[in-house]
Amino acid sequence: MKKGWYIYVIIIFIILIPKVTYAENKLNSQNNSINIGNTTEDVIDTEAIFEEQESNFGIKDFLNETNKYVPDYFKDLNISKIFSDATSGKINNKDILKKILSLLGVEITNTLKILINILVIVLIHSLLKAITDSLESTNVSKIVYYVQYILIVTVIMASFSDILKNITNTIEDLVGFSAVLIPLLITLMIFTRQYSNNNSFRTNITFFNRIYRKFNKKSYNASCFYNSSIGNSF
Amino acid sequence: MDDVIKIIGIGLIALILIIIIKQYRPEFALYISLIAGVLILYLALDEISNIINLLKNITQKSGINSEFLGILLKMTGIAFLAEFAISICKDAGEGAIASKVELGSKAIIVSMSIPIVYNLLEVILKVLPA
Repeated sequence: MKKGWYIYVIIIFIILIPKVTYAENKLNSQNNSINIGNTTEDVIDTEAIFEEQESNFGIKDFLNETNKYVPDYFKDLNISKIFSDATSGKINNKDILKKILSLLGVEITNTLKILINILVIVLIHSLLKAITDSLESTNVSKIVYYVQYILIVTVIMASFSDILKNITNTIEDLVGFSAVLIPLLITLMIFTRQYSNNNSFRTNITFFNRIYRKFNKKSYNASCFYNSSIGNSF
Repeated sequence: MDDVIKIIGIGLIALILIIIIKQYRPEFALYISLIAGVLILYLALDEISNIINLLKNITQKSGINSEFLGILLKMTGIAFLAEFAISICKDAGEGAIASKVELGSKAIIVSMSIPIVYNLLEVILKVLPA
């Protein structure tokens, strides 16, 4: 045993010696090789590999499709360039973050413009009121005051109409999204054997109501009332 | 500062002249008050034009329709001129003519405000659902 511990130490030492390994390069191209000493090493053509992977996974088609919709929201953004920068490790996170924040701030800038318009009109109104208050006959100055007030209300109503438009667009998007999910819900209910009970009735009514509304838009109010009354009774 | 002193001076001088002349020729008192009013308005015209230019610059920079500002300024001007005429008529003892001038100026102001009211109605109709 005393002599045996030499063997154990030698075995452990051999196991713990760090081994250097090299990755093997496999390329089909015959020209991609360099000479290092007496050996010939294959050089990796990264661009060819990226292009091959892009075509295999359909990334190019995806990028082309994305570039159609990006100008609607970001005017000076090139998704293909961002992708190529990301693959080479040179991605600029600050610019992307700025553009995302600018997208979130669109509504705020629009509202600020309307707010500034209202402030300017109120300022003009206060100036003119200060001037017309000195008139002896108050009736005429009152009429001028009312007209100025109507102008302020007009600007506020214009901003209100913009807000209403945004709300209706958002509601339509939400309703459309929920309509897209209804077939998935019905499928899941069928697979979980929940379709035969009364929980599916409301889902069915909503789904068929959507289809019916598409072909018969005049009966929108009646079908909505029917849907809500029947749905609530269960 | 000079303009204020000029305006006050013209007003006081006109007042003294009217007091003196009213004893002998009361009809000339009306002319003196008319001339004094015109002179005072003429002196205040520079400052009024500065205010109007300021308002025009503000509306241009903010993007508000300058047509509305024009209408507002015209209405204010009409109110001032009507007030001038009404006060002279009342000073002359002609209250009936003063009330007619007031009525006429009100009608003109209301007719000038029609584009603004029409614009408001259009915006309200746009907001209402179809």
